[in-house]
Amino acid sequence: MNEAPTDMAEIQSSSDTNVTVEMGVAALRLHPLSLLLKLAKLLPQFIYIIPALYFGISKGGGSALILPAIAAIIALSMGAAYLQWRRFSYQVGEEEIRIASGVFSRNKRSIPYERIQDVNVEQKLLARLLGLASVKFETGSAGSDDGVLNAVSLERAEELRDIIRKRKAGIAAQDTGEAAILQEIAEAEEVEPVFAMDSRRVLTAGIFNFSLVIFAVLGAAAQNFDFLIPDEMFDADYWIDRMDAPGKIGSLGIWAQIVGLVGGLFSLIFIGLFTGITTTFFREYGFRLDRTENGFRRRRGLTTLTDVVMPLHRIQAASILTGPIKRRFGWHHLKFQSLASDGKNSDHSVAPLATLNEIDRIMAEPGIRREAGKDYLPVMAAHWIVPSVIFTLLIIVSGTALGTLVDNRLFWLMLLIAPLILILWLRWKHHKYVLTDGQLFVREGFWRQKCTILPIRKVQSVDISQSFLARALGNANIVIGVAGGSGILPLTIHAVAAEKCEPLRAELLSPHQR
Amino acid sequence: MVDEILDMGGKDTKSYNLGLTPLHPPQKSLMRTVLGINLLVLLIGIAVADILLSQEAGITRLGAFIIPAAIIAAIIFILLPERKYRRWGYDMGADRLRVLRGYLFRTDTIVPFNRIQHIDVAQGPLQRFYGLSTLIVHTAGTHNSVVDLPGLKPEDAEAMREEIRGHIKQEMI
Repeated sequence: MNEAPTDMAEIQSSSDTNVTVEMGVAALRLHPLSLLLKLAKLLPQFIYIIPALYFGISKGGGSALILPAIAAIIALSMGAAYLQWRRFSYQVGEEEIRIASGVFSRNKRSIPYERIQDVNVEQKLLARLLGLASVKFETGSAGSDDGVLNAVSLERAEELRDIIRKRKAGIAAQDTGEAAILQEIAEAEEVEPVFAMDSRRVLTAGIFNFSLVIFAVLGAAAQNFDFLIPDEMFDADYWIDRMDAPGKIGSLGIWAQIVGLVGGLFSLIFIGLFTGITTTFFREYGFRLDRTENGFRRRRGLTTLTDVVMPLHRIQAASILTGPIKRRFGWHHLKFQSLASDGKNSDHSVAPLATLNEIDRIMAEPGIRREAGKDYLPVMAAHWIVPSVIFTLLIIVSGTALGTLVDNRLFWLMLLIAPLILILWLRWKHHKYVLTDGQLFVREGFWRQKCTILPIRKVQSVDISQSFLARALGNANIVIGVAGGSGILPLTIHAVAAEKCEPLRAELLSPHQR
Repeated sequence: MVDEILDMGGKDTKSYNLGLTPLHPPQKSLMRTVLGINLLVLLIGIAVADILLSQEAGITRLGAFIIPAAIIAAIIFILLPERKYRRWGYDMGADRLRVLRGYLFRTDTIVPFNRIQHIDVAQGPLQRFYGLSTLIVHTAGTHNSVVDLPGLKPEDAEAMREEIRGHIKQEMI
């Protein structure tokens, strides 16, 4: 680690007055090789610059300038990266981590140990080759405003994690006297993991992660590189001509058409399976969940290794995901919702593909029951009838308009009504809830079945919300605020009979009664 | 449907905030002022479009858009603040804060005091003019992590903050 005596004086002299200033705490820099990581991150952006440069210069006729121009851009951004690196420093103080950053506008963040929920260590492929790791201090704040050290050497990352856990335990010990419990710390004796997946299980998980997301990626690429694609690609008339013209697709004969269709479907399935398996394999390889003294520790990844800790008392809720096919095979996916975020997701995947027995074993640790032990209650039929009516009207109106004004084949659009209503009905059929023994169970989804299990002592707030339509039909939605959950898709029980709402809410809030 | 709701609004004023504490009356004026400014901006936009469409393009007659828009705006301006105001309400329980709001889309929120992480009392320039404050409570939840209660007398807001602060204990989450 490089010491940066020049920056140190400045950081300490300009610290806020209300934080204790520890003299003699060295301000440290990131690992010099982290500059390489930064360059690697910048490279994809250069790809966009190159065609721009090419067109710009070829018009001017100065093609000899291309290489120097690219070199200049790379040099400039490397210079900027170097300055950023020079001006970035962190201090591990008695009570907090301080991070100073910024070339022109300086930002000094202080993260008190008591506010740090987790310390996550991540190694992407390149970082791994260079022996580096990025350290992320999760503070449980909603945004991504947490402290990130990208990157330090792996030994340093582990050392930091130990230091922080020790300091944190020290602070907690002063507050609660639970030093013994919190004294656990890093070198979790390598006992039997709570849950682990071998390569075969990972591959099976990949099959269920069938994904056509590659087409979205290709679509986005087509948007950006559309100058490479012939104009006719997106011209409907061109394809219609091809269909109808003699000697073209339309005249191939019915069998050839069927073969083409089947071949197309097969290649879709193949691509979907291939993406599912590879992405899953890279992400979940070597999946291992350990029980540490005060929580879980999860390690996984083929090229990007992640090492995440999850204190038990931070776990807010559990959700079990499955699907109609996956369920047949007895597979389920267990996630915990925790205060800290797990990469982009707000919930932590703790068992991507597990049997119910294995899930029970994991859920026993935070003490969440999987079985409700009581029948689930359905929600009001308005949950599917109202959107069905609205969609039907919308489709009839737009189908008629398009059919009469554009092309009368568009009348067929109205055939969409039946499957749509079926989907809405299935969704309603699978939306159920029950509240027993201090746990709320909410099931939702037909194709992606999700059962959220929330111990009601973790409830943060409860809304009863009602649109004017719902008020007329006598139902309301119950929206439950849970720490660390998704802000966009909060835990909601839809279309609950209005008269049931108040008692249900009272019961949900009963642990907070005095 | 909407008419029916509007009708009901005239008759029964009490049941709308379920007997909870109403907001400080100047809040109604504040809501009207804010609404007025928004409507005015919108009307100016419509007026410009109206003039362009009639004078320059000659597609419509002058006033084809602006006159109905002005009438609708006037009705909204007269009716909406009153109705929205009447539907706001809050209640400081022994252990929880309840906030009720919304006209067409109603929301009834309860936040237990021991879930509140921190509290803000905020005041904007217009609020200062009317002598109003907003109480903002933050929970650790991501849905509803910020619950706003506008239109309080500044003294009330301060007093509520003190009371809630007394309930916030160490071991939250």
